[in-house]
Amino acid sequence: MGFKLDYLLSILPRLISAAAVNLRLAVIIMLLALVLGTALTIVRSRKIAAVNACIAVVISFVRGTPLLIQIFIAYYVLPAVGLDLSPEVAGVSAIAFNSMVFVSESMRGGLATIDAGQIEASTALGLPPHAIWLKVVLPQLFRRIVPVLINEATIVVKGTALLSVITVVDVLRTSQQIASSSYRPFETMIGSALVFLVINLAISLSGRLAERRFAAARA
Amino acid sequence: MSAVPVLRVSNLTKRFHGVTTLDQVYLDVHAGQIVALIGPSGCGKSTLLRCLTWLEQPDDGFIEVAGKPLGRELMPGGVVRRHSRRQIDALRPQVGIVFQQFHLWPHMTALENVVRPQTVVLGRSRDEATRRGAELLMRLGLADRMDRHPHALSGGQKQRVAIARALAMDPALMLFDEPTSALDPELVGEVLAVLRTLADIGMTMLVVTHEIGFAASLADRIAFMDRGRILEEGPARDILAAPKEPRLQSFLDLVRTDHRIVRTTANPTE
Ligand SMILES: Nc1ncnc2c1ncn2[C@@H]1O[C@H](COP(=O)(O)OP(=O)(O)OP(=O)(O)O)[C@@H](O)[C@H]1O
Ligand SMILES: [Mg+2]
Repeated sequence: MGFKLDYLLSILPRLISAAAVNLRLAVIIMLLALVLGTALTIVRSRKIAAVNACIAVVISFVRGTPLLIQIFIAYYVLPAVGLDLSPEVAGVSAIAFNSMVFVSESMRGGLATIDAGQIEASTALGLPPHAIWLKVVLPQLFRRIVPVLINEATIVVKGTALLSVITVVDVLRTSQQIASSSYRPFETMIGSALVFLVINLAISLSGRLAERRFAAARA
Repeated sequence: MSAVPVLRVSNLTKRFHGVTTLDQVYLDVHAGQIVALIGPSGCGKSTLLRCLTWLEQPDDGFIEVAGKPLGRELMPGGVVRRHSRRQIDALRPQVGIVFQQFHLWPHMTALENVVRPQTVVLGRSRDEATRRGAELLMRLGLADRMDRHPHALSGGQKQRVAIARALAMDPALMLFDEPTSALDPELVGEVLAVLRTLADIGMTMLVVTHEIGFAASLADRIAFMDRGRILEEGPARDILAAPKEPRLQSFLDLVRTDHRIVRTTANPTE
């Protein structure tokens, strides 16, 4: 069974419309990861020993276990403790949780490079703590971690393919469905790979443009 | 001289890990005065300025800015009441501080550095804050530098932006920590000129410096600090011409025989 380009082209429209699911979930996940990652960073910066110890345990779990297992836990284990989540919600929660940790870790790294003198100057001017975060610290942090965020976004997009195993009908699951009825896994898998590749190339490219604009704004 | 000093420091004491850095400091600064704070390295000058903006919490003593207690106050009956962060923040704009390293916000233009604290802290409208900021930067000779980010400014320009940022809050008092130390020696005269323009508009200032010539040509009064205490304070001329404290005498002898300082202070006294 050889590779047929016209068959690949004929299934692309179905794969592309399924990609809307991956894109939508990836956007939601990234937004959640940014908001939660920022919140987590602020909580950790308070340096409350007991809180940070708990957070450290959670972080080592997230970093030390496969994302697929974390997704299974959200989908199969959480209902046992009364949290019955739909496949999409469970999947989004698991990946967002995972991503939140990586966002927070890179923000923490960026935080160390922000001169403490700036914070003191802000304090001396009378800026309340929340204004110091919003006007002084976070704008600089976000600019500094743009490359990390772009990278994280591509990982999240790829991660949404894992949700096919908990019945979310995304690009991968759609292509599996097509393959099982047409018996042409070659073209369908190449097709879904292409869809992911194009999305991630677009993200990387726009990320690089955004970085260049930030650099230009600073010069 | 008005009855209420712009700054009144009484019995201010600060310890770091049990080591006394400020030891019962008393100091009054009256409206329109320029007081130079001199003293050997490590005697506690910067720590005093940091306490005056409550960046460092003194262990004991009181600070009053234009008659209002800062940080803590003595209530009737001898009870000491500590202020909340909100109360302290409300008074902080009254005390402008210009740090040795200026600490501008690198992600904002010079003008934005001056505008932002006005809108955030004082609640001024953007228009009003921009007008005030542009006016101050213009007066400090930065009319053509307003749209630049700090990294594209020279040290002296950064310092003037930092001064404008503090002045825009309409402070009652300005604090300067070694305004000449982070700049090239040739710029000492320029810094002096900037501080003189502030003096001309009647700004009250407390200036930490280790350059005696700078202090002599700028200050009305000089306070000498050693080992956390203010040992002698008085009119600049008297302090320099007839120091009473033996430690002040030897400090002056030391800095006057230091050739580098003699040379760099030659400009401002010209
Ligand atoms: N955060 C801190 N923790 C511990 N010790 C400190 C701290 N800040 C200052 N000190 C100590 O307090 C003393 C006074 O320091 P300070 O910076 O006020 O001196 P200074 O008079 O400004 O000196 P210089 O002329 O060198 O700037 C020094 O011995 C310093 O080591
Ligand atoms: Mg100092």
